[in-house]
Amino acid sequence: MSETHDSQTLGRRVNELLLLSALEREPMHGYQVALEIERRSAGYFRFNHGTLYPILHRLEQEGMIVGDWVEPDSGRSRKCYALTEAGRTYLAEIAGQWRRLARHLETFMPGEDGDEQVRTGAA
Amino acid sequence: MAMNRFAPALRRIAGDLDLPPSVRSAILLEMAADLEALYEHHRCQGVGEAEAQRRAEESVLGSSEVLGRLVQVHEASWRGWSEAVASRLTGGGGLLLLALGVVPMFLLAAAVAVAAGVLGHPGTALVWPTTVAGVAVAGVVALEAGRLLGGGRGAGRGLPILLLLSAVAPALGMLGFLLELHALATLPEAGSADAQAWVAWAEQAGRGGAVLLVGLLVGTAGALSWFLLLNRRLVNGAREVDALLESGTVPPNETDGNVIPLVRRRRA
Repeated sequence: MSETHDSQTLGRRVNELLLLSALEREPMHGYQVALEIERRSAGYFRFNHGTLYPILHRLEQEGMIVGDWVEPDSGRSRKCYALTEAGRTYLAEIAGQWRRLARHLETFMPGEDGDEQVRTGAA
Repeated sequence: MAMNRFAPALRRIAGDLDLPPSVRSAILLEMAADLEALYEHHRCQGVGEAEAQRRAEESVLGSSEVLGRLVQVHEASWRGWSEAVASRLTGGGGLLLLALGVVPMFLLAAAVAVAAGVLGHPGTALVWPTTVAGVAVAGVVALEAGRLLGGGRGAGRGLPILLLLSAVAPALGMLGFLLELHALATLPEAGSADAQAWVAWAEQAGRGGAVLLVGLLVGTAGALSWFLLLNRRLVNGAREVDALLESGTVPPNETDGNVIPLVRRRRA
């Protein structure tokens, strides 16, 4: 059976992809995750750090990531999140879904000429 | 003690986090750490103190809608009930009695195992799995008690394992007992004059019963320990959060607000 697109969960899966991708390279603290996403997307994706907590905690409950309290030599203990094997598998799965979505969307996009025409028309 | 510039803001949102105490504490401590880290991040970029604080609070503390989502993630949890029970144990007398009851219960389990001679009869059904589960329960209790009394952050992580083992031990004991009963179904012939056969039968039945009793004692002691240790964890968490939310002060472990290193460091 062919895969169909579920637009209801689009936003949620964008967030999951961004978070899990950020954590794929190395374990990070909550605030670092937000900064890393912003850095890697050159500021295109910006998260209010507070909005990350519900997503991080849900992914933690689902076993996609694991939160671990780290005690630095000085300063306050901080919770550090790392990707689990289940999270890695899930990331690969949703990354594949996004690639397929992008391919399907591409067939509906006007060509670059269209972009040019829109810009010219607007001017 | 350094000033905790975020205490008023954290106090404001603490009221919105209607969650089990340990979850609420963990969330507040996580937010406090991120607030400090983000504040330092902004400061390193040359932002003034007041503006860095404003930006950190705006970004980390989120809207009431976001807090509502956070509560939703955690509220469907059995922790609420268990923590409510554990937090009622704070009455000193009850807590002491409970603590005093746990150690004798473990000792009694060991005494039953020795007296019934079950360990000398490895053929007794599930005697070793039950014993191993019992030793594991005692070990986890000792380990977690040490951690929680030490106040380390990783403390309490073994509590789910303790709960699981406390359920497994009596289940194994019960299963062992039933297997023994099944094996004993062939009674010595009625009217048998061979008294030795009846004695052996009774001894085997006794050993089966002893395995069940050991499992039950260990399970009960483990469950009581679990409540005690959970209570201790709640008390530790509440203390830390109280210190955090107290006006103008932070816990003693707060020495600076350095931007956290990207490499994880653990205290040995």
